[in-house]
Amino acid sequence: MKLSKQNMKRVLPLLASALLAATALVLTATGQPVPLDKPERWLHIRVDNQTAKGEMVRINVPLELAEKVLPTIHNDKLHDGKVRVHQAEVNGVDLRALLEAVRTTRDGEFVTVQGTHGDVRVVKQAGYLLVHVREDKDSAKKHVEIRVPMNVIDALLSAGSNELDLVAAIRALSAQGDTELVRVKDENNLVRVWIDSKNTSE
Amino acid sequence: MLAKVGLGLLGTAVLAGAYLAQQGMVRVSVDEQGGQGTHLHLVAPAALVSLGLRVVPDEKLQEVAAQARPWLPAVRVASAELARLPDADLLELRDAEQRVHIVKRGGALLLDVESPRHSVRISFPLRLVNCVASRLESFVPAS
Repeated sequence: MKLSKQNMKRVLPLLASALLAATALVLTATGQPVPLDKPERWLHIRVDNQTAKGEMVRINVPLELAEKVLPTIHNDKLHDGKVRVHQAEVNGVDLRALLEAVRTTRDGEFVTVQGTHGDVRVVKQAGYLLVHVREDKDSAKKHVEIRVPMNVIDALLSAGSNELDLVAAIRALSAQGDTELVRVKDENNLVRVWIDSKNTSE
Repeated sequence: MLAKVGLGLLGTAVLAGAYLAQQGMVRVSVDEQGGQGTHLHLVAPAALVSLGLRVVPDEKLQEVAAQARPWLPAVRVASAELARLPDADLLELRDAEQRVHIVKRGGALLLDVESPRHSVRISFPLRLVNCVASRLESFVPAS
């Protein structure tokens, strides 16, 4: 039985609406991200081993993801994005007291060791805590460069006397410009940790 | 009359297809090396998984929810955040024997593990993860 013109007129708008709805659904199905107001900040970790079949690690973490996920984790010493460090000691050093001391001290060179086997320097300078370690000066075997923005340390210590506020630290890190935080290089390995607005570590 | 029924069926099929496409697909592919190794290849609409959750007995869901309880909020928030982000390679590990790759592509998370013994590829829509986590969270007793 053929459709009359009148029936066609009734059915066609319905069919068109159905197709439009379907098209809209399919278009939203592509999962295209909503344009972001501000550029996303990414933490990158990259490990390259230069040997023939060397290991390779690439980790790209959106800082906002970490900022939102951390408060949801309640496990052992981590609660609400804060880690409890009451009397936390690393090799006999009270980590929180050390950070607090660094935070409240003026710019300057805290540690300088120049030995036959290498150099160590710890400096607070222009809003950064800089740690420089070089092993075996002559052959340049191992270099470690750590660069921590002081406002990240401030944020880390902002929670209270026996906690480190990881979420606040991540938020402070997000507000930084593109920065290389860690670089470790030896004969075979290169380790880099940095933040920028790219979603790749290339 | 038949034409009307046909049009109705066509419209329903188009809408059903669009709904399934919108929900995305779950793909699982496992290949073990060797003659008698397992070869599993599964492609299923994510919508079926969501619907499947509705028919799983509540006791079973409560059991799973109790085990996963500490991590459910993190999984739900992470999947929602990842879905919002642009495509990216999140993790790549490679050594002499193995390669692990986790990427986000177009609303889905893809996990790829390759080793001399097996090859595993899994992909699923992030909104499915969110849906499953939310469903399981509804079985977690309020504390």
